[in-house]
Amino acid sequence: MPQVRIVAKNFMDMVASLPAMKLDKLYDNPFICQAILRSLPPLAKKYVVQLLYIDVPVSAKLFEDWVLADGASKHRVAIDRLIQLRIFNQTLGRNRETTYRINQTFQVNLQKHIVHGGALPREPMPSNITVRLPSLEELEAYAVDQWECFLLHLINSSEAEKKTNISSSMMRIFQKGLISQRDEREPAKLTEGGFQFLLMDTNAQLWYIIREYISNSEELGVDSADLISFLLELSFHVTGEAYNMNTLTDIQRVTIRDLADLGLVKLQQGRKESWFIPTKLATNLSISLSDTSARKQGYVVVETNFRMYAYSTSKLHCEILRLFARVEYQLPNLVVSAITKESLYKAFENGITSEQIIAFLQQNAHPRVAERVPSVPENVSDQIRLWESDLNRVEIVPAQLFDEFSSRGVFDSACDFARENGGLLWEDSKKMFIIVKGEMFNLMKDFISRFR
Amino acid sequence: MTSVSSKLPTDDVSLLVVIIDTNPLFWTTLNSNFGFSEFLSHVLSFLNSILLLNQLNQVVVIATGISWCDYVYDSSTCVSKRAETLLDKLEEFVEKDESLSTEDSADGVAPSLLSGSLSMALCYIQRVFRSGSLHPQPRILCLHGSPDGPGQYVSVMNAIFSAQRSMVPIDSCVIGAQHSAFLQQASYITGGVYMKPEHFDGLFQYLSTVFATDLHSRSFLQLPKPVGVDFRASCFCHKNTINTGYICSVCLSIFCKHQKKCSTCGSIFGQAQLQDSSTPDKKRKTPSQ
Amino acid sequence: MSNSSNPNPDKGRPSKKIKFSNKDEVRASASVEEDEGYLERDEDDLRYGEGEKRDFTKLELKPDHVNRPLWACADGRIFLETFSPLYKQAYDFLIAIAEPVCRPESMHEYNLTPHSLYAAVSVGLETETIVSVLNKLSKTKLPKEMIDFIHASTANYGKVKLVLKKNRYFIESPYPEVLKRLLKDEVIGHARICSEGTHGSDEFTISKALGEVEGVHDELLNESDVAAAAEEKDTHAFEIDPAQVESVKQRCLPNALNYPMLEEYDFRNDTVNPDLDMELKPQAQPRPYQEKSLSKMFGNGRARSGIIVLPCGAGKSLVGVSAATRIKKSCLCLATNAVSVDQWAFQFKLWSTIRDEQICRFTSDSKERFHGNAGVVVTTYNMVAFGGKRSEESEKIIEDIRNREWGLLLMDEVHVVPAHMFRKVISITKSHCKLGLTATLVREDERITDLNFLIGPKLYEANWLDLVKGGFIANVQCAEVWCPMTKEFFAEYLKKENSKKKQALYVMNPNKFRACEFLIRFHEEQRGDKIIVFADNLFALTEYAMKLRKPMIYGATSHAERTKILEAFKTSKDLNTVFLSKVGDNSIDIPEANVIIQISSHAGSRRQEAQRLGRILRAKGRHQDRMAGGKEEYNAFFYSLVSTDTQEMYYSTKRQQFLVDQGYSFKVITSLPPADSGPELNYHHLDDQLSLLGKVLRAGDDAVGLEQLDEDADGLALQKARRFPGSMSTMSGAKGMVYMEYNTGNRKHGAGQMKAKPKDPSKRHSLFKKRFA
Repeated sequence: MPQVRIVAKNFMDMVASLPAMKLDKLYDNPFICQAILRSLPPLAKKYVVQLLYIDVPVSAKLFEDWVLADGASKHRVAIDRLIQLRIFNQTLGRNRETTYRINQTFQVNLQKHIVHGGALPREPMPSNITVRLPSLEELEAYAVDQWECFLLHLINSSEAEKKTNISSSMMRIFQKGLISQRDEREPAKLTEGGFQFLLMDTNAQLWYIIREYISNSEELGVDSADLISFLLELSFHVTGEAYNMNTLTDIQRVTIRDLADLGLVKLQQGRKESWFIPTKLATNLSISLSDTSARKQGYVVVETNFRMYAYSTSKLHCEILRLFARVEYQLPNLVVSAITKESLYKAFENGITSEQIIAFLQQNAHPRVAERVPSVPENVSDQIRLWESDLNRVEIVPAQLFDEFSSRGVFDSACDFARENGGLLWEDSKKMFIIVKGEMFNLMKDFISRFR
Repeated sequence: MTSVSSKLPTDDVSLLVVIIDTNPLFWTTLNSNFGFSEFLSHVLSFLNSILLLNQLNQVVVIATGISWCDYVYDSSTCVSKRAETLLDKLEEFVEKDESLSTEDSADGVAPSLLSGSLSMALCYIQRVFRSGSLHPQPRILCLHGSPDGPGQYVSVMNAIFSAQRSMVPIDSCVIGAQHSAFLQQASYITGGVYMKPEHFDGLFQYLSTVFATDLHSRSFLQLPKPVGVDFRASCFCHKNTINTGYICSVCLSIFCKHQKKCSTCGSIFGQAQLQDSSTPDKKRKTPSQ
Repeated sequence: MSNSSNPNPDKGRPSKKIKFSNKDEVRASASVEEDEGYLERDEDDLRYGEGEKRDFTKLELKPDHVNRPLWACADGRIFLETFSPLYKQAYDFLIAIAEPVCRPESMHEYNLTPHSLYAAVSVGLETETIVSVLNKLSKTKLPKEMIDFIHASTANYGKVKLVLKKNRYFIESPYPEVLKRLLKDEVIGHARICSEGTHGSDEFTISKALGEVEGVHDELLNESDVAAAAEEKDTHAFEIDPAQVESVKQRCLPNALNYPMLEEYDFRNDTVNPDLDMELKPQAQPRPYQEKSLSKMFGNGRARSGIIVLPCGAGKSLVGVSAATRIKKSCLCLATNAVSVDQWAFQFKLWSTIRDEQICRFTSDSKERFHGNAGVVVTTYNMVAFGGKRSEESEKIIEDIRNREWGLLLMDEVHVVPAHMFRKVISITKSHCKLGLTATLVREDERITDLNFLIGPKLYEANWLDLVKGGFIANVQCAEVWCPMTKEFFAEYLKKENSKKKQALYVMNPNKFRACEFLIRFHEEQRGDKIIVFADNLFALTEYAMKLRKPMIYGATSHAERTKILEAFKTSKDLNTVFLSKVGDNSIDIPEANVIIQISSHAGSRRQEAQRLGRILRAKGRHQDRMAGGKEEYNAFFYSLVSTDTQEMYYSTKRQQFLVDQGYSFKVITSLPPADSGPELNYHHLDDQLSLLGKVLRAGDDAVGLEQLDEDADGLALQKARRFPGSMSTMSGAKGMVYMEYNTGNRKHGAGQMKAKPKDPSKRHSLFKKRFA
């Protein structure tokens, strides 16, 4: 889905657009180096590892020689990325040929990591202080719950049951671009971007929100580099372990509270100390930075008769399905819906494409049918595409018909005039009538009246 | 047949099973500049860099000894995800290997149990295949130096074909003095990379340039191709490497001399052809390098 | 995204409640049983706006719900997971108590209706059993509404049986109070015959009857339930006058006393009727689903009347013959036409030890009689129901049929026969047990309900996909080939004055012709398949067959010529394609064909579509077809050629509904014939196309219509103009599961310019990918 790439890349773009000094400063932190390394496309990763122990600039041609013809574009993308992020420094060497040299700070940090490993700035707290740590399942449930609650509030769904701590001003910032409200009286509706957002993968959605959060914080005077570095560092913590809040700076403490509202961490209070516990949402952040395909359990079964069975209790999932299908039954752990022409047309009107719907169904295929090739029955995906292309078969252009010309001469001039002005849609010389674009009506009227 | 993921790899999440040759006889007779511990430091750095590249990457290390082989590291069970933690287990392994090898080798360096390690690697990979559709793409890397043991020919070939069926490439990095016919065939048949580095002190560089490449990227890159592959077989009766021989038409077992009956499948053979080098229907294999 | 403010959504629809208690009223307004649910839902949609969703999220999941296979909702809808370990047993149970709505691969849907419960009760399932088994299988606690519904529906069903013993008719029941209530009715009271020994009207004869010996649900019940079922029960009975049986039955129907009677035939104790000694031959090995259907029929030692539904080619004849051999009394077998008669006679001789002189055929060509006092007569519905003057010989035979007391009335293809013919046959003949066999339970003329009460309830219905998996019927690849209309044809199609010729125009579309020719060539040359081309439209049939130089068979083709052509088709390598008109739908048995191309079809008859598909369902496992793949490999192909942007598209979707519900999926192919095919296919040149167009326009209006065959009730039904509300989207085939009868009026078609669809290489059908690699 092209949209996903743009959003995820946006976060990295944001990183890459940091001024050079700030970016270099980021690389002082070995965890940032790791996170950014992991966010690179696979070919770029390989190049970094290749140059890791090479201290001299290496000719670009050497790299190009390794690449096959159909990998040329991937090579370019990888190199561009590396240069953007200032991991590779491009210089002209002898013989005026391009050479690359790996960023020294970056290099040293990675070398150290490979050989010696690294330690996080904070250790998990001892278990005698942190009592009643939630189990991994409880933590997972908490994270999912928080995130869904947030999303439901985001799209102004009436299904949202709990309240969220996120301030309404914060919410409005997130909703920018996703929700539009023509005036105060009308209920807010999802925009095209909003619909596509809902169909995105969770991690992509998360990064989108984080990016907005960071941009907003920048306007409030917080250094985005600090925030970025903290977030990337967070992904190296261990899920389920408690970390003391007093190891955080003030700004980080504020951030952590916001992140708790999104479900990335869980906050707990002891007698004297308070701590935060990262959830899977946080520790999986670094996986999703690159363009890798989503790796998660699906829940939707699509049958050949256009009926869908979604094994889910989530209200959010129900909302998402409602975007393009007609929900018929809601059982405790199953949502039964049908894909019909109307429901799809509604989706198309809202700006969702057939490819997005099909990709969503494929990526969220229930494990039972995920093994099947194709996971979405062919006739269903074909039909969805066909219905979409049906919309494109007939084009409607408002037009105006002119007939009963007084003479052939007038008719011909009118034709030429219309044609020159790009408004001629149809002409019939035998019957002497022409059809022009509606917007040209007055022009034509004036033109013809000149002949009377 | 388990469900082999027929999808082409779309990402670079890899499961790398590394087979390390710990044959002490081999290591002591090798170039004195490059010892086992130096070798290990290159390998450990390499393993750490693999784990670094992707949060979901997995590394498994199997040690090959003279008398036995064993798993010495599995990143999915290791909390710290550092390859150094294998050192302890490796030491235990080598000690046990020494205690198990009772006989002195006749001449030269005894072969190590490559077939055993390959089989263990493939078993681990099969288990990963069965764990569901969200598994990393597996491949095997053999860091090997000991000479090939003809006695292991059949088992090694079976392992190779099994890997081929499961679409698991076997990469080979040969650190010994001579090429290994087994590994050449292994990489050739399974679509892996075979390399014999010339400068051992640059081992990490070889490893990171060639063998760190994930399966997805391999479709875009030119990786070293084998110059020639030694396809010689060894006979089933004496385990000698032979160029020409007799083959049972039922089970394809290879014999250096004419037999009355096939020892593998029991089929009765007919009259022998005259032992004439001019007879055209004897099978010829490509001569070794 | 607004939530319904109705706190109890389940109760928000009064019509549903009415449905539960007064079935008859609703039945009259609904068309087909399975569609009752849909029709209703659609009305609901119109009333409540988009998706008045059934919110059953408040149902309580049991802790081990993962192990249980089904969900049951308060509105009667049941969902069944096919991958559950309990699937087989759950399926057997559900098919006995509910109507299948759709049965694709992973999830089945069923509807619990009063009618389906009647069927359940008539095979011996008790109310409590139904509730407890359903509860056991359900992931949630059964909704109270459903339990009440089951109780309400089954309260009166199955309490009363009509048994024919020693030529006397008895009304039996284990509940004497029910009998008393019946007797209070005038008609029934009148019909009662008091036997000596019982004076007055309050005494009934009491006897013991065997309880149900059904073992199938044993594992789902605990021991005490099973024991209770097998106990011998006390039954009370009174006798009635044989002449008044029909009227008594009428009085018991739901619209009157509401104690519909089950009919069972105690053939073991029937000493009056002569026995017919025939056995099943040892080589007749019934398959599991055939056994199952027979066990439903003979469950308690008596023979029940009813209908068994098996897909075409699954072996209905063996079921019929087995039933006859179990009953061992005279059997009257009714088929739809003379060819079927021959086939049935052949099947009887093939599977049973019946001797030649014990079986005879009665058709216009052969008027045989059997020797001895018991035997099997195979004839057609027409022959029996015929009201006009007969020849002397025929008259004698009919007289014999009328007077004889038949043990089994075996009726083939019950859903093809018009209801009035049915009634006649049943009223003319006296039979103890009636067994109806069919492949499809859909009729377009709303007479299903009559059928069920005339013959009996549905005893068993097999699952098409399961049969495919078991290798009993072919794995068919269904495809719809979209053929754009040529400019000239489409222009004529849109003209008002050609409204009667619309069908001819979209059938004779040159692009369709080319696609058909391409397919025939492909399958004949590259795969060596046997192909049948179906066309309802005689004009089209003739044109196509003549142009492509293939033989054709239609109504007027003589029996001898049909036999010749079919024989050649079966055996000769040179004749691989044959064109059939509507006669091919049921009259002819062509076991070896494996490709069907449909170029014109019958205005939306789902039964016809399923029946035609049945022609190739026998094609299983030619080894050269099964390339290394196994189940995935298709060995039969069903193509439906439709002209885009015409009425045909709408009808096509409607017709496919039944098959889609059974789990088949129709692939859409938009690029036949391939863009690069030129003059090697006919009608490549505009001149040819225009001359064809001229021919169509010149032909008389009746010549370009449909072939009329008498036996086609669906056809008559569909041709009657009906006005039902429908939306534009419904007409274009969009509503997925729902169909509505639709009056073919003028429709405005998009005025877009007809561009040929670009042939997207990725949309090439897998079959042709190799060819154009």
